Amino acid sequence: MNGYQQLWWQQARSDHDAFVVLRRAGSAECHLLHYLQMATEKTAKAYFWRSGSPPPTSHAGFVQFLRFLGQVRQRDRQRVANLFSFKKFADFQGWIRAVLPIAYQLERLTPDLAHDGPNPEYPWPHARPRVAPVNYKFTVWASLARGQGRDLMRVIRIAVEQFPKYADT
Amino acid sequence: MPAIQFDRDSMAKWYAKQHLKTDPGIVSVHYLPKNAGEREIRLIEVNDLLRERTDDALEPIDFGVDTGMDSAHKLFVLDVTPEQWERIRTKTLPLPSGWSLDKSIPYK
Repeated sequence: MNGYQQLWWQQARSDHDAFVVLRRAGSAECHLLHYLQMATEKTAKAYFWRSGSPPPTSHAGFVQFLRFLGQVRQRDRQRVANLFSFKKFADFQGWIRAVLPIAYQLERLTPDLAHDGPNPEYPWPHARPRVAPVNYKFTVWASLARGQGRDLMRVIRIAVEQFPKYADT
Repeated sequence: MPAIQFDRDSMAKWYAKQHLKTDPGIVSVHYLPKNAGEREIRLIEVNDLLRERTDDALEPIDFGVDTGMDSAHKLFVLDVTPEQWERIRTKTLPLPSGWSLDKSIPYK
């Protein structure tokens, strides 16, 4: 893990810690999603810094990160699968395919990707605000609260906590 | 979430029925009241859409619900595969610390 990755990972870990505290406290969905989105974006960026060059500044990245994990070199596959708690790499790949729709929803929450619609930070639409995030029930949170979404949250925790073990993979 | 004063057993049943109704992967839900705090609901949800996983994946996800209200409580959900559930049931796979199947209530 290089120094750039270390910095991004530290911030991702802190964002994820905040997410867990907020989830335990029963905070509003917007705050949970804001921190979870930031933790996933920064984990992805920490991973992409492995080349030593800066990744794009866009808030997108989590979906691409999952795709990269699903395409690691043959010799790393079993280790990566086990690290993320899967017995076989094919199971891990299948799991990634299954959770990608939720990952897309999570990624698109940021204001610049939300196209003036539901986002966890600012009332929308910008020109004539009608909804405050704190009052809004987010579809993606409903997805995360179901079985597959809970499993995604479990694996996100592993992705954050175990980052040094696959940072160079 | 119904706006009622907190009744742990009723709320656990409500969660179990809702999750069975709305989540196509869940085949059974087991409510584990033993050792749980007064405002803590522990559920094991057996999900046949989960991929086979290693045993260290047994990790309940915890949610705070209705914080600051009369009905405030914590919901813990442990998602397991049917194969893991079979081993939990036959006591060959340990539950998280403090969790017990004694007096558990199944919902299908």
